[in-house]
Amino acid sequence: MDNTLLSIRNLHTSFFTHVGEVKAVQNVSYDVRRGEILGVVGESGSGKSVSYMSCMRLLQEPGRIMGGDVQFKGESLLSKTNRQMRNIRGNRMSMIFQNPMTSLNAVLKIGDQITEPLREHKNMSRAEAKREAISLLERVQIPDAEKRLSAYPHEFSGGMRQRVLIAMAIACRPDLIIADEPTTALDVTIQSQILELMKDLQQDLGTSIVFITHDLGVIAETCSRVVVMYGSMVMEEAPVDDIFHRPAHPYTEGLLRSIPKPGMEDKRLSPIPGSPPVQLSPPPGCPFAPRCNYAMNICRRRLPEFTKIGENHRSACWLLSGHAPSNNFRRENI
Amino acid sequence: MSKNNKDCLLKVDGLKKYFPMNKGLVKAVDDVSFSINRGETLGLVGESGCGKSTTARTIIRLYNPDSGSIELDGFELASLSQKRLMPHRKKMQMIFQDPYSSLNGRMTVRDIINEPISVHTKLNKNDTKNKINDLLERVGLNAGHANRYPHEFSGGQRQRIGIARALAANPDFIICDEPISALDVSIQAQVVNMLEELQEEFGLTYLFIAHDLSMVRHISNQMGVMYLGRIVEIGESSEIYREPKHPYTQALLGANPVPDPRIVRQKLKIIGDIPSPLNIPSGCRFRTRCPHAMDICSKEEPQLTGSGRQVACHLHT
Ligand SMILES: Nc1ncnc2c1ncn2[C@@H]1O[C@H](COP(=O)(O)OP(=O)(O)OP(=O)(O)O)[C@@H](O)[C@H]1O
Ligand SMILES: Nc1ncnc2c1ncn2[C@@H]1O[C@H](COP(=O)(O)OP(=O)(O)OP(=O)(O)O)[C@@H](O)[C@H]1O
Ligand code: SF4
Ligand SMILES: [Mg+2]
Ligand SMILES: [Mg+2]
Repeated sequence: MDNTLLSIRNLHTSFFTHVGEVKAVQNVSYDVRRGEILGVVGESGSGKSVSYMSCMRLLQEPGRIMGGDVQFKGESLLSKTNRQMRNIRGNRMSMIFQNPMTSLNAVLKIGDQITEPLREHKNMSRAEAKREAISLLERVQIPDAEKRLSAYPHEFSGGMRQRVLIAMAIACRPDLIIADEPTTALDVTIQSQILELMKDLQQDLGTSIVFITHDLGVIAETCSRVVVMYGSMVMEEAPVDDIFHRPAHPYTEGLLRSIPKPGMEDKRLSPIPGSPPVQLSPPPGCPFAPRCNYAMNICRRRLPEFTKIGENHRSACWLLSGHAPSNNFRRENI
Repeated sequence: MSKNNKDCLLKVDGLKKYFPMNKGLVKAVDDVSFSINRGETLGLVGESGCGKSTTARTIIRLYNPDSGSIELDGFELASLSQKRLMPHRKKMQMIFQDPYSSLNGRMTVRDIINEPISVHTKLNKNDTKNKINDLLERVGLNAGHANRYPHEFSGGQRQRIGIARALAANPDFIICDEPISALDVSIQAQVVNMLEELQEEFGLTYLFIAHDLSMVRHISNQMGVMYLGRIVEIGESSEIYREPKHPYTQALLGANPVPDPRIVRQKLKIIGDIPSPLNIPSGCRFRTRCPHAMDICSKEEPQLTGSGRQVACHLHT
């Protein structure tokens, strides 16, 4: 059976702003597999959110998909009508955002917000939908579920609201949940509860989850595979253990080196030098080259292609091409 | 904590800051005491709303304390009028979380850094100019940046401008309130390294507030853990990390995700959300979420006890 749920191919998305074209997503290709938790990590502005806004067809002006394709269960999403897309969203794929307050309707009772997609997509009666809503709220561990149906979002804490959003996201048993920084606004103790909950749900329901985050700790604890983005492109894709212990891209390696390690308090941290790229006029070549410790001449001139390192591991870096001079990258295990 | 008063730069004792609200009194800071040695860093951690920023803002007298004392370099500041506080102001500066909104967008970088210099020092025009250029270089920018505006800089660069401004008055003590939370992981380390280098060079003393526990461990000598307006555990950072004693500290450290998929930990689950600060539980404030809560915990408020490491928990009395 085909293992692929969502397949992104050569996706290009740009924003046409008054200062020029911002190439937010460039030539992005990877798959989301059935039943996996895929982590998407990368610098702020690297195109993580825009990739999925494009996939879900939620891009707003002045954004435009410039090329490529996105297939969901073998069907192109880019050729669907708006009506078909509405049915897929919230039913077959759903999204959880960072700020639960902006994704909940402040003037609608929680109960109405959860039952709406059930009635629309699953044709449930009012009573059926209500029963299902209660069981969903219980599923996400909201106490007094029945009573809470008539509460408004502002009566919930941040963690509780995020639970409600998760309940809504799983309401129609979607095949795919895209969680864009779902715990970034939460405290670590609440974050850890929400992560456990999402892992449990993933196990029980077999849903695929895409987890967009900049927190390497969250990636390590929840994801089985990871896509690393920088400067609107994919730099590396690998199983989570490879990303953390055998990174094959200087940006990934730099990220790992820049986080503090226990027992190394007396040493200085090893940051990645320089600043994140400006998307407006990206230089030719590798987007990471201006900050890369290993950059060679070719890196500033030509875009590196992907090199396959293992069965499920690939990296876009010239150091890995057969022609690179000998170098000290990838000698040590982090 | 070191009892060596000779080295002590900041001593906070019994600090309280309450906010009267329609629905009642928010006890944002409720009897907080600690001291920081000169040239050292105290990290302050705890969940959102536990009172970290209010503690910081009260120390720096952006808020007037309801009670308690704030002793900086031997001077008692808590009860001084704003006017008499003025000569002490330059000794304490603050760096904020949001490098976007904490800088006035209509001022050039030069004007931003010049502000504290003109208020707190008597430098002439030429010396001021040199000082601004020195500061810019010291934080990894250069004189060419002085005439530009904040929006022309990246988040990390803006935070450097904020640091340059904080340094401009030659302070002894700097409060860093979530200085790296808004920055990319790859940039956070740049800013933390810079803070450490400046500390060594100028003998600065820091109060460092952050969500990222591993960063706090990295930068701080001592750390305090706050819960609902109180410090529940305080001591040497490395010791607290090695062996957290308060159940809340244990939960907090256990919940902090570890960036290594090979480390699988048994997590101490703490249930529920932080209670409303308008409705602080009786006895131990943490008891509603504590897996070890006993009878006494709802009756008596545990006090910070111990020498060196101090813990406020009935399991440790
Ligand atoms: N509405 C818009 N108009 C113009 N540019 C935009 C718009 N939305 C996004 N962009 C640009 O697209 C690029 C990618 O943005 P995106 O939101 O995907 O980043 P991200 O990786 O999700 O970052 P973060 O971690 O900060 O959420 C950025 O350079 C951003 O400035
Ligand atoms: N100016 C104010 N007026 C009324 N209440 C306030 C004020 N400032 C803070 N509070 C309240 O005091 C408590 C402590 O807030 P504070 O901002 O100090 O927390 P914090 O630990 O800094 O949280 P965070 O991690 O979210 O920054 C909170 O309940 C907050 O709502
Ligand atoms: S391609 Fe070159 S610049 Fe880019 S990451 Fe690899 S070595 Fe560095
Ligand atoms: Mg985003
Ligand atoms: Mg704060």
